[in-house]
Amino acid sequence: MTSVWSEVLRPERARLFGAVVLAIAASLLELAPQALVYVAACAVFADVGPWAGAGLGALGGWALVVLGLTLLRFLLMGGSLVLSHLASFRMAKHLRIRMARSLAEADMRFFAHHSSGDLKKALLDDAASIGGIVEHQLPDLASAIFVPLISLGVLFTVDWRLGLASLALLPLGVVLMALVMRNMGPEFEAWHATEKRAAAAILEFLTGIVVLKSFDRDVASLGDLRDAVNGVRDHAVRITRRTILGYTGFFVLFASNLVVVLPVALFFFREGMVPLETAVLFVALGTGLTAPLLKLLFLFGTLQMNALRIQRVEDVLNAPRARDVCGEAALPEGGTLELRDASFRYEEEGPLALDGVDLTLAPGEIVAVVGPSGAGKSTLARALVGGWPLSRGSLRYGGVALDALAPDARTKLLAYVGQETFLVRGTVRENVAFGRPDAPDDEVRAALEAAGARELVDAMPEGLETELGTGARGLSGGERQRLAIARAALHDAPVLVLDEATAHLDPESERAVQEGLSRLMRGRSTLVIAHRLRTVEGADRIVVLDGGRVVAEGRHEALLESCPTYRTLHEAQEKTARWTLGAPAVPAPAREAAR
Amino acid sequence: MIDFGLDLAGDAERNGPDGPTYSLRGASLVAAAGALVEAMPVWIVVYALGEAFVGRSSALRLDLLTFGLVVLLAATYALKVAGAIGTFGATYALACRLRLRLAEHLRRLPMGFWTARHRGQIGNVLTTQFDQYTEIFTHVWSMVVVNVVYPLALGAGLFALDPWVALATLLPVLPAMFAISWTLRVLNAASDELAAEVGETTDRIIEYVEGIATFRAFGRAGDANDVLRDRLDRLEATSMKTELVAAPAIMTYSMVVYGGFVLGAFAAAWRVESGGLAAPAAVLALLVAALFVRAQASLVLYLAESRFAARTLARVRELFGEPEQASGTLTPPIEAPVLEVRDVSFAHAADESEEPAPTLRRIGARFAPGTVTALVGPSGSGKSTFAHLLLRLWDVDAGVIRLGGFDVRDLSLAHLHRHVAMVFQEVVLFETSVLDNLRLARPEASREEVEAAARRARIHDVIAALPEGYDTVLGPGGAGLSGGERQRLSIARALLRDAPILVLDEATASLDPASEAAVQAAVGELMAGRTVVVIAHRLWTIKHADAILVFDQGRIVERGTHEALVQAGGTYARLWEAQQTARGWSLSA
Ligand SMILES: Nc1ncnc2c1ncn2[C@@H]1O[C@H](COP(=O)(O)OP(=O)(O)O)[C@@H](O)[C@H]1O
Ligand SMILES: Nc1ncnc2c1ncn2[C@@H]1O[C@H](COP(=O)(O)OP(=O)(O)O)[C@@H](O)[C@H]1O
Ligand SMILES: [Mg+2]
Repeated sequence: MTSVWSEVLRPERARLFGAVVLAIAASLLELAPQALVYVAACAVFADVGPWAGAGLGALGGWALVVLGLTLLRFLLMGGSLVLSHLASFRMAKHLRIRMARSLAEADMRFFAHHSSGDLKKALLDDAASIGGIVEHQLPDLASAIFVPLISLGVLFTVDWRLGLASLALLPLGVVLMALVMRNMGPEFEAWHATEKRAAAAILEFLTGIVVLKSFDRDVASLGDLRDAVNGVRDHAVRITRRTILGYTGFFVLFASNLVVVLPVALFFFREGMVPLETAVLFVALGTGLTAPLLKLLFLFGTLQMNALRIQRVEDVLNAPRARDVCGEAALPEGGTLELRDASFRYEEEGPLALDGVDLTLAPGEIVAVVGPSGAGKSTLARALVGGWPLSRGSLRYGGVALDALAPDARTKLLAYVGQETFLVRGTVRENVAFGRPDAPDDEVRAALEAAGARELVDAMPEGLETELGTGARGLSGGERQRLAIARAALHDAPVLVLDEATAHLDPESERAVQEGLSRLMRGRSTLVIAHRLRTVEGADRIVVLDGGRVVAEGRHEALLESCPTYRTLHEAQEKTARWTLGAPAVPAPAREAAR
Repeated sequence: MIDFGLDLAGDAERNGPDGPTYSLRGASLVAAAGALVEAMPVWIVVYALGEAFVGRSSALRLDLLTFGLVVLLAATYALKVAGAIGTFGATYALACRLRLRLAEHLRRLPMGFWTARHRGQIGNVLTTQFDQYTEIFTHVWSMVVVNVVYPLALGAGLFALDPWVALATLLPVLPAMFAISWTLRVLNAASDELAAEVGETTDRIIEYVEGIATFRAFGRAGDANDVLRDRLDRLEATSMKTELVAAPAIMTYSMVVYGGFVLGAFAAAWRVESGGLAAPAAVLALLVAALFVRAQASLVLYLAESRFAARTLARVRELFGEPEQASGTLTPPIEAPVLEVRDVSFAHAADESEEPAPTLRRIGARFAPGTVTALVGPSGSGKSTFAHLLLRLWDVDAGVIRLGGFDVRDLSLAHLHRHVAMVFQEVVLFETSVLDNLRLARPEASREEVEAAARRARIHDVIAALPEGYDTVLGPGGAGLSGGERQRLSIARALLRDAPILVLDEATASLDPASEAAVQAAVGELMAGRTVVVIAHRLWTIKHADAILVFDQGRIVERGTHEALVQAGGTYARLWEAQQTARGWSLSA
């Protein structure tokens, strides 16, 4: 894992080093005014040294030098900024690319535990923030450490006793802080947990706002939301009250070495132990000497926050892969798809969602899968589509293991149309030619024709070049579904997997989609998952799934005879199909009963 | 120059019903006093070194001096502690109050305000940005106060030493202020451009993550996703560009401030030369000037940080500016709950660019007590919008909707909703106990009443089997329940609500036959004895409705009973026919 970070960091090494060196140089130049004060003090008071007895005649010239140094400082600072930002943005980009790559190969089960919101955070915000460490924190950290160190070096060289005096309050501050922060860990954790709870409650509130409106529930009546938001406040105030004495003490002490330095310097001067200009130097340089160290405190805070972000990014980068080996094999021509003794589970220790399933799909064959809800039908479809590795069993096409296929051969093998269609933001053309961006227009049109979407697209303002917008929201479910079918048609895979593709469409769309599907299925092997038995009565073979196992297999009539599960499904369907609104199943008890 | 939202704060922020109160203004004053006291040791420095410079150091009472410094340190400490407790307390209380107030305000907005995209942005404002805002406010606001007051106190000391040197040093303060406002402008412009780029990238990343299965299935994931790659390259370039554009502005302030020291040094040189200022006093003046510029230079850092808070505030103000939906005041007894729709037209407010195409045009309908009316029509024909109008989730543009003879806009919303309830297609469940989820519909319902409703909705047994029965806390969004179970919970709610008029949006998501049968039984219970308006997708279920309204492109194009409409051979007959074919469709083709 560390190798990923070093790989991301290595190309930026030179830039980062440059940024740090320039930042330190720039912050040292920040002390130019203090230097001038010292030189002036020497010129006025010193008996020895280069400026002894010089007087302030040259003060104007020295001011010009300070001006020059200040200009130089800004050049250095600018250079440091440019270098660190270049490094930061490149690092963020490379992290993002690596994460995108990792998601492209991840075991699909990974997505069950990582919401798209979390993944977006990792790819966008966390990557930026981690880049930000090198962008601001690293140069800041360097100058926050080096400037006090170098100043101290100067002071100690001049007079070590006064040097010690300027550090006198430091230990006190540190001890205070340590005392305060002792045992605060759980308190902070609780605070963050409450913040998370409040955020979740707010998002939930926004999602349910329409229902709340219709029930006249106001925010005050949502106890959880109110408690969580108030809880954030109460935690924060409690933490403030518990830490403020030490925290403030720390800050005040770190910025107040004057309290010790001034009397001690004056005392030493009076006793003839140091010359006056030295006293001036300690007051000028020693005041606020340790203040930059305070920045360290903030930096550690940020780094700590980043630890969480780094964890999230590493989670994505380390996502388990769907297949360990990437084969090289080409796609065999017209083979049979064979699933042998396939088992699958969603959770490591969880129940088997597929339990020793055998299934074959010969070229041109239509096989239907039916079964009660939770039987494993969708899981079976997923196992074929890929990305959901089997825990046992094998999957072959034309005798070649699917894992041995080259990535693009694996992609070419199979097309999947499910209940939910995913379209990208872009033109109709980009969506239909999604798997083959270079497909010529006439092939795209032919695919649309096959999917029964030709007229639909012709009616759009700019035909194939019409922009669909995010999620193609302007289109109805049926329209989107037909574009997805066109996309699958252009993909031209020998095997087709349909998972309840027409389940929630309005009647007219449903018919159009069905026609599209019928055309699409011609000449391909099709596995179709249907919740309505009616639809699949004419399939070449019907596989009945229950509890993750194949309980029967055959044609409709035979299954009605021999398979109780199938018969139950059939009867339940006949019953719901006869039901109509307005004819209550059970006579209604008086409304008063619920009052 | 920067919006700190001080006006949003009350005079006193209360910490809970019986918690202490804090005043942000008071706390700021205390913090300012703290900064003033913090600067006083510098005056002692000026005095003591001044004495030493002219050879009078032996007369200095170092014990008194030390004592003075320690007292000042203690006073600084005390004032800072008091100031911090005040600002932190007030800010957290303010943020908490603002958040809840904003949430309540949002709830009162008409539904038209809520588009999916909007929801995401507002969620972000109310969570992440608000946290950031409090964080920045608590830490930055008092630092701004301190970094204004502290240099001012030093400046005063400088004036006492020599007005000319002081003037020269302070001269750039004014241009420095301009530099700040310029900096903020440049930064804002730059971050606007960057925000747009980040927005685009966010969309692409979310698209990639949500559609990962599709991207993978078509071999467009990872390095093959050139659209995303391209976006990331552009984000990198834009980030760098905005940074470079803003860099000179950010550095200018500090430049100008340090220029003050150089000017002060020139002034001192001139004053010494012309004999107006003794050399030792000049050294002192330079010392104070150096401390002054150092203190002043920090201000811009805090101001730059407060920018983020200002942006959140701008968004908060904008949201508070959205007009709430006006509730009527009447709460008359409604004898016969007849719902009447007269000549109603309605258009969704279009995005700025497009002209609002009316969603509903001149709709008329009457729903008599105890009748079942079905709304059918192709998707997008306006059925849901019409249903929402009945609940006054939007307001009509023209025409009127009457309940028992009263314009629904004159009735109080609560009163209206006591008579008209809706079961939405998408079931909303909150991450709280089953009991509370059900009681949403009627908070005062007893446990027995809740259970009775659950029984009638055919969901009691499922709830009872949960680990803690009715007290089981549901997962986010009702996770852990099947689609059919969620629907039955929603029906149980409507039963509890017990409104005489029921608007039902039939769920389209497919259920397996067994759960579908349970849902159907629950719906049957719910409908008994009520006026029902149902949006139906499966036409065979509404064969027995008293009336069917057929919607097409925002109009009611046909109305009548099932038989009559099939006979008429119009839109409905066509839909019916399509559905019959679809139902009969079978794979063998
Ligand atoms: N993403 C998932 N995570 C965990 N368990 C799942 C997931 N999807 C399905 N399951 C479980 O796997 C089993 C089979 O589900 P599924 O294949 O969806 O059935 P079907 O499609 O036949 O209704 C069920 O017990 C279901 O609860
Ligand atoms: N919140 C909204 N903002 C803008 N337009 C909307 C909104 N909701 C629905 N529409 C539009 O109004 C029309 C009618 O939609 P809707 O009432 O949902 O129809 P139906 O329920 O018959 O499917 C559609 O063209 C739809 O795009
Ligand atoms: Mg399924």
